[in-house]
Amino acid sequence: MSNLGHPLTRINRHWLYGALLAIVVIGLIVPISLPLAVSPEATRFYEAIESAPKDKLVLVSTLWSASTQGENRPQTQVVLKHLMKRHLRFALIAFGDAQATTLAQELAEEQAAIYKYEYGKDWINLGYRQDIAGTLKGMVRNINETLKTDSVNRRPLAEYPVMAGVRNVKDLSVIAEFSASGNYKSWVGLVVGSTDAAFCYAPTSVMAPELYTYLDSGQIRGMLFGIKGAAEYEQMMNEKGFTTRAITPVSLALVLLFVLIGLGNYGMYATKKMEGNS
Amino acid sequence: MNPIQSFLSRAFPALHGGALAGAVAGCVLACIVGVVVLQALPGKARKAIIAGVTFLAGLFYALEFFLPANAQDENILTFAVPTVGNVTNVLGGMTLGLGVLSLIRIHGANVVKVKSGWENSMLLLVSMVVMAVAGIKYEHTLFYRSLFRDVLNSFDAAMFAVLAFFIVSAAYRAFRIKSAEATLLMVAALVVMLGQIPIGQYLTHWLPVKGSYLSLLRLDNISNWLLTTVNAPAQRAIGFGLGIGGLAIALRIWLSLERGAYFEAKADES
Repeated sequence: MSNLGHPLTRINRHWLYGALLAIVVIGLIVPISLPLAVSPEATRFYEAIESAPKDKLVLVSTLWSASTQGENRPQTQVVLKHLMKRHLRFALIAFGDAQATTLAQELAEEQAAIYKYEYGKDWINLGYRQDIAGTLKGMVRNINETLKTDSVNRRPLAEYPVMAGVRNVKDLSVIAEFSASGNYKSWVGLVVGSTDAAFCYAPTSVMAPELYTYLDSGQIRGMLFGIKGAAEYEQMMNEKGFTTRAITPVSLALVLLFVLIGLGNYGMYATKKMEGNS
Repeated sequence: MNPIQSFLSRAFPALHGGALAGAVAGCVLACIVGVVVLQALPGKARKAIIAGVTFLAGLFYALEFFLPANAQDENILTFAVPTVGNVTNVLGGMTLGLGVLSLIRIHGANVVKVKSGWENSMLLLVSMVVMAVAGIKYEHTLFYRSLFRDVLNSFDAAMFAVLAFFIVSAAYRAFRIKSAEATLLMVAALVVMLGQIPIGQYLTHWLPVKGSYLSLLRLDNISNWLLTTVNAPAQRAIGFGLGIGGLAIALRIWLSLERGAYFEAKADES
């Protein structure tokens, strides 16, 4: 055991990198089909969209860039798909990172081509705003006056049929934010108390645990827990897309992590025992 | 329309065409003059002006929140909230410009003086100019889309993906069970992570989902219990602490009580 313990604490990091790379590639090529339990918070997110009235607008806020697109992109995609399947009109808005508005626009255009969604009539892009607090406070009072024009044609929002009947956040049915940061505090603090719209949040996995206190209070109606949340959403929509496949490498990478932590600790105890015997 | 709103409407009527362009140019000129005057003032006078402007800016939202509202949930300042929101966005945009100027100044000097690593500075400046020109002039072309999607996004995603490798390496080297607390943390982390992935959930999938005491032993249920019953109160406690700290910091900034080494040094110079 003493001979085994010592080397286990000194595995070259290049082997670790290689193992992770191999596991992710294999997981993507050979997906393992296992059932995924749908969490209550993902169910509530789905139900908020499913029960949204068709006469109100859904606001889709994005705050992610290419760095977290591994999780945020599938989340945004699957919810946009659901909105279009239900023929709900929606508006995109972006904060935090200027990339967010372009990436969300690309995603919406992809889905719009499939579901025959017309820009300006069924959906609109309200663009990127640098200051979230000032913008949200303005939107609580008057969306058109605060945002003025869309980001694609730079035309006044009032000219678009999709914005008909929308004055402020009270005229929204659902606010869905897809985020790589802690933006939810601005929404909860400045908007949620001023509207009956369901506020749903889709963060990266690493951020998700801090949201449970707001889910508990009902200020956040539903949540998608990283890419796993997106896979759950896909499952509720009876679809098997990229997200369902992508959950395999995530699972395998976590298993690798457990194994390596176990090996590291076993090596540590073996070393201690070896030192105790000598 | 309340008295403040009607006064502002009369004082600043809506402008169009040449008049609007002239007003914008006048505002830009006034800003430049303002900055020059501020720079020329002694440090203490400058600090007093900045503190006054900061206080007034913060006072707007405080008054708008606390002043009594009518049946439409509006008071005498509510009409200005969207406009003030736009002003804060413009100010945010100007800080981006300051960042760009700072980058040009520092890296431009590196290139001109051929300092060590000047090639990196040159690459940064060239990339910045090319990306800016592509975004402003050729936004709807393949050139911009290729730079944005194929180059910038790929670099961004690759940079973040590299973290996964470091996390695996760090967890292997640093996650050692040396105490009862570390053991507890390890077990909780293991259960939560297993409960989040299909492979982990499969280990206890044969147990009933609900309706039986045995369902409490399912990994996904234990994981959910840890997140909602153990994690949420802890997060709430942290949130309370952060909230109180945030309030104190906000008050200090609003009243210009916050001390900064640069600001104080500049004020003391005069």
